[in-house]
Amino acid sequence: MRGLPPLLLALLLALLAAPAGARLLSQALGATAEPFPADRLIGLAVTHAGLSLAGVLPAALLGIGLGIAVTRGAGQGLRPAADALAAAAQAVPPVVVVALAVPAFGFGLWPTAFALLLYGLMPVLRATVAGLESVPPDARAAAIAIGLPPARVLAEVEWPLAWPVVLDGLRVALVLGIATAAVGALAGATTLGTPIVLGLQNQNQVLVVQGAAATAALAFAAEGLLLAVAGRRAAA
Amino acid sequence: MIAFEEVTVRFGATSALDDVSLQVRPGELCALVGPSGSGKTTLLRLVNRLVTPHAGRVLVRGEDISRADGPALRRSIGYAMQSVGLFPHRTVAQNIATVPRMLGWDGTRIARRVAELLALLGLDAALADRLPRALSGGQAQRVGIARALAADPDILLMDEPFGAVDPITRRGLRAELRRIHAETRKTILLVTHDPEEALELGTHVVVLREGRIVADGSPAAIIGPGGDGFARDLLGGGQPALRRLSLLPATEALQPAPPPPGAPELPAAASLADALSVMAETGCDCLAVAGHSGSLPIAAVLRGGR
Repeated sequence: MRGLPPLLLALLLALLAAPAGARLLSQALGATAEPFPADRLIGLAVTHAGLSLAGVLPAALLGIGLGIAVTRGAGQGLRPAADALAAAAQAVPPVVVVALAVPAFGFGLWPTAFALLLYGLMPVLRATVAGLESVPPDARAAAIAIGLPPARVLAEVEWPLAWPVVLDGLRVALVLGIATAAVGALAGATTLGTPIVLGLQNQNQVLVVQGAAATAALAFAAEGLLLAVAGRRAAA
Repeated sequence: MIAFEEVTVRFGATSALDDVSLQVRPGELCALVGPSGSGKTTLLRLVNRLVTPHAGRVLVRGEDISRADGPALRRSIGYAMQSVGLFPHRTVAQNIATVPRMLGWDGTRIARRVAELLALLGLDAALADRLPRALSGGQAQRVGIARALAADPDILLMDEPFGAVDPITRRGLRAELRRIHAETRKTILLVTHDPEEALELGTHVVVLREGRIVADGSPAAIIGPGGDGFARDLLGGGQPALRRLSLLPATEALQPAPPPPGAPELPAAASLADALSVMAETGCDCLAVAGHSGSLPIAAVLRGGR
């Protein structure tokens, strides 16, 4: 079971983020600051997860759509442009994207969702193209020759064979998205980045550790769940 | 059944087929043979419009296919190829059922047809639920042919279907194709680069060279004395007369006179080459044929070769 190690790691990190764990840590460090309360931390984790999905889902749809389009006969000319777009989106640091998006979207969740969309695009697009290109040419040729129309060649032969690779890309995009969503706290999105920002402002290391550990716990949990889903599909 | 009328196909600057005309009648097993690059696969792929001609017409069942819907046309024509192309994520049964399922057959009819095809191709029914990666090369080829036959098309296109298997399996598959052709009377177009395969299987042999048809007729006529030199060289294996004798049934040369006493007896299905072989082995110049009253003298055997 490939999903187990990340899930265990997520559990450990969650314990570290919890007030009891954080208090132990702060006592060990000789600090006296109050940890962030658990109920607020859970509330932030829920918004954080929701925000990540709000950024990564459109990235997934757009990346998959573009990936399919540039591997069709008619869309192959768009391939270099799509690659360049995705690479450029990945190359800009998320902090910069968030900062630049604030004037357009205002403070709140939207600048971050936009940054996550741009950030998630490349892994999904790359994985979709790689997955579709890994389909055995014989199988595709046979599907056409026995009379499957193009849409069914894609749905019945190419997509099921490409899916494991695409799922890997989705996993990378989601984990990246969850980790990156913490940055959104700078633009007014209340996420698990909020305790980090607060901690930095008040020189409270405990809050920084809690926010970082909770973010990492969420990312590992997502990783573990998607690996488990992929494993079950492969076994089926 | 299939007609090519002055068809030309170009790939870029080179022409793959140059002004080719050919008629394939219903029920024929037409072998397209020639060296690589001669255009035989292109000719095959014109039939289900995987290739479209730059000039000329292709008629299937009397209709010009340039106006037909490509995928629908392809579903009405079986297609099997050397690389097989089974869908790796689908079981043998699901692979075979692809076209029937698209045609909307119900589950019981599909299951019955799959069982029927596994039996026809000599495959164990237990293979139905396996994935293609669990099959041997020969089994995969058979499943590929079963998938091509699944919706009972009246035309079957085969592009070197036995190219990727070992010689022993290939011999077995050839014999089975002959049996399937005899049982189903489908019109089969078979591309091969193996002259022996073309002569053994074809009821009609077409020899291609550099995009043109150089010979077109029955196997015995093509390697007969009046045939095209290139075709005789390609198909005759250096001994076109002997090859031709092997294609002619011994009963065709029977003479009315009774055989001499003690003459060796040929099986009824033997060829004239078999007769010659028995003569060489026994030293007798006149044979009997099982179940027939006449005799087979050496002069009649040799005349058959002309």
